[in-house]
Amino acid sequence: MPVSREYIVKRLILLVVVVFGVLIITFIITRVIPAHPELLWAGAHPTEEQIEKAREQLHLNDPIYIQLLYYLRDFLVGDWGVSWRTRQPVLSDILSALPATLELVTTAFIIAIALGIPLGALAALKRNTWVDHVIRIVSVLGASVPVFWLALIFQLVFSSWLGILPGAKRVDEFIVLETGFKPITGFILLDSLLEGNFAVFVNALHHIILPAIVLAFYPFGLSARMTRAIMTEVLNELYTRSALAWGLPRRVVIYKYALKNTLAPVIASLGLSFGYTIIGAFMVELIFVWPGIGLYAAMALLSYDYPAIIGSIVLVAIFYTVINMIVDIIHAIIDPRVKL
Amino acid sequence: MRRTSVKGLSKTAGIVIAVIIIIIIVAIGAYYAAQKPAPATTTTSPSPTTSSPSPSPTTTSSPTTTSSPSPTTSSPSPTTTAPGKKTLVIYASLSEMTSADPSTEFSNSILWMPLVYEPLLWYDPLQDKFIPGLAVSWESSNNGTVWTFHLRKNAVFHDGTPVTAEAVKESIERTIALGQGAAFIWDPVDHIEVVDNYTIKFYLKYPAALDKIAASSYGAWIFSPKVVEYAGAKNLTDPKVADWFNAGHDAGSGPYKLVKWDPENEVILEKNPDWWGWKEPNYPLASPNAPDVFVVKIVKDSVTQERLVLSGDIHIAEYVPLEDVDNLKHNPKVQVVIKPSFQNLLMLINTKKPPLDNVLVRRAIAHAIPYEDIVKIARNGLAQVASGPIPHGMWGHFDNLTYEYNLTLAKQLLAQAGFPNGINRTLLLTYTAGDIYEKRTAEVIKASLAKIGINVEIRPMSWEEQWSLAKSGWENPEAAQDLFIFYWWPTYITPFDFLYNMFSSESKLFNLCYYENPQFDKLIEKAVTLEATDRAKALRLYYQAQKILYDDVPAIPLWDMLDVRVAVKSIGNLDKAINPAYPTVIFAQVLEVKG
Repeated sequence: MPVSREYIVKRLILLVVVVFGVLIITFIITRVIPAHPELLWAGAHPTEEQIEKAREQLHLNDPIYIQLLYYLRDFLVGDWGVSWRTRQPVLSDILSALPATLELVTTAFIIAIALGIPLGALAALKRNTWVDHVIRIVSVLGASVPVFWLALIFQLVFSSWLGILPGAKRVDEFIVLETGFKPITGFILLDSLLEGNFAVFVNALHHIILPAIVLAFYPFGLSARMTRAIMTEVLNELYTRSALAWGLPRRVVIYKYALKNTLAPVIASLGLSFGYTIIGAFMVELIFVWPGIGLYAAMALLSYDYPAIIGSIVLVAIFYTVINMIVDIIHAIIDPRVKL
Repeated sequence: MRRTSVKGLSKTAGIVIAVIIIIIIVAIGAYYAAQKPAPATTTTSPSPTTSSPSPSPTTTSSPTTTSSPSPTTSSPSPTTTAPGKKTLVIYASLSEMTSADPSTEFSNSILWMPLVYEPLLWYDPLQDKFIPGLAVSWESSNNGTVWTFHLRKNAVFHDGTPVTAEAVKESIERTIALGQGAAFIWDPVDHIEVVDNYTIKFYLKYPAALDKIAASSYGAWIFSPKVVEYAGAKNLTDPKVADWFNAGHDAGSGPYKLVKWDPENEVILEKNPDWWGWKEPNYPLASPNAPDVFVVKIVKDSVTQERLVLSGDIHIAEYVPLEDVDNLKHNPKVQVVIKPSFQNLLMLINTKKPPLDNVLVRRAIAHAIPYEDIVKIARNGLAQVASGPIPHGMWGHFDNLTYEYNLTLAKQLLAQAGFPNGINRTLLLTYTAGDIYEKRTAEVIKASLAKIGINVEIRPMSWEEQWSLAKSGWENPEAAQDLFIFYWWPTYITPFDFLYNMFSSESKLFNLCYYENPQFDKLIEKAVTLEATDRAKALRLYYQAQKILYDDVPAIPLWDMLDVRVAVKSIGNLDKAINPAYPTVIFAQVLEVKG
């Protein structure tokens, strides 16, 4: 194992620092701009007493550092506040929305990596042939076409016109009710397999195809382009040529040396775009009625729902940091020169 | 060297292509696997719970199965079953659900509460008549200060406890004690007395129409007092009870039970076979073919709702883009139901800030607004030009209170007021950012007022900011906006709700015209107390009050919204399932599900 325990501990401490930094900054920003949270909290047609009560409940009569201390105290015991918009606890809202997004994004990344890296490598090997051109066009389009447009077009073509795939929702309510399916982890695909509920599994798989493909386009384009660029470079390196000159089989040179050296930077960049996609998925979630965190965060932003905004931002901060760490670890495993 | 390299390359390429082909095959295989068994499972109905047959007089043609995976109550009663599938209706809501506490809920959850909970009475405002709920008869005495309700004897909460006068008393007392949400509707109540198990008496501080209050769409739900036990709480006002409700439990007596509570995504209700209403002959709020399962699905985009209802993925859409309504009316797949709503849009005028403190200027503005055009442009015709602040279809509405659109008259009035060349100050009009109907309305008003020499700046603000600025106008009218566009809708159905909140000098939160008229205040206070005893006289007073507003122009009512629901053709009775007194609600218990 090229990763030392010291490194992991250091990164975890960094995680805590980052999370609290993000928390304090967003908290102060949300309290400094004028937004009248008590009016949002008090509801549509409140009375004067209800507004005053709301101010007290939200500690708005206290100075801002006291408010921050209240928030931090609650945050540490797992009380991330209550959404001003939905009146639901933010933490449970986020935790219930997270699996849906992770399931979608992970599926999209599996598709993207499974297609992007081999096709990128192929393009590098078949440089400047028609294969390369086709892959280039597809991947550049994938990385540059706006995802909401793609989502609408896919929905229109595959769901509305051809009617071969469902264009919305995660699973059909009917199947869930009929089979008495109860989620365990919130990952429907995983849960249905664990329970041996094949009907729900198939139905959920059916539903995830379109949004996952749409969401996969960007990381697919990214990974294909990166793989091609780096692979081309690696293939031109002296060590590759010497390996070939030494008479090593071409297959061994390509897979064992060239591709492996290509993978490290590709995975690093993909890892970072994973964190980004979590929130970026909200367009896809909105269009495909996918009950995920992106949609939740977007709605929170639009309605000045600060506890929910802070919660979402902290979650994304945690994600970035953790994924960064994982990417570094993977990097160390792939590249023996890297010591952590 | 060259030769071997090409050979090697094609070999790798072959492997890569093979991998891709395998992935594609797996994907296609998965897709076909997905296609085949899916419909099969829906028809076989492997209901997880065993259910025993029992007679159910109302559900003859469509037998119901209740699999009851209810977290709430394990219904001890036998449930009707037969081989067949459950009928399901999915209703798409644009906004997520809020709380599940029947005492304090004052927001979006109104959408499903009337299916799970019952009030003493229901009110049908379009026919101005009551429908019995938990009460079968009621009377008032002592000039409307004492109200007696006689409860039905066969109503039972979902937990099996009978609905008694004690339960009614405790429910309403909890709502009053918590003082949140719509608790203020019970303000007139002094104390409540349980006469016997099925008779309850309300003693009021002053005369009020308690029948209408009891039929309120917020804060009038009756629930089982056993929630204290379930929640492990000390008493009903213990926050633990609210937590218990908000964890997705229900304690109602209505035709549906809450079985899944995921307020951001979906709420699932299942038919309660023991509801008294199914057995009651000719009860207007029950249908023999009501859906077995009613799902509220949160779909936060109207374009998506339209697409889903056309593809049959949902059955009823709450909002579709208004531009598409004409096309949908001709689409054979769907039905379009248009009903009045009691939500209206008004423009409140800052009556304390010159030159708007001059009534002639206000009248000039009222005559310079093209009402018909606004309805066409802002709502694609899906609204009615307002006539007074009370919306069409409601008791207390009068048809002769619309201002005439007449620019010549408007210019004359402005000249009389001393502004023959228009106003040399730009007026500030605020509206709620993100509301497209308000935005379009504001734009038409701006364009139209420019024609009589009044320049308007329109400024979108978040509702909280907009409202905060407007409230500050009571202290400093000079710093507040000039014109304020906003919606009003009633908590319970009385003209007083509109007239008091927006125009009484006591209402500092919503009288954002800063209008003060003692004569008007007296009229409406008198009218509301008469509502219980002398409705004809109350109506006359409400008319006089509205006539005063018509002449003084503290606000200009613009349009009364029409609600549009689009549903698949297989859903019958949709028109009957919509009641403007209970906005956004689809009374699933009266729906007829065909096929």
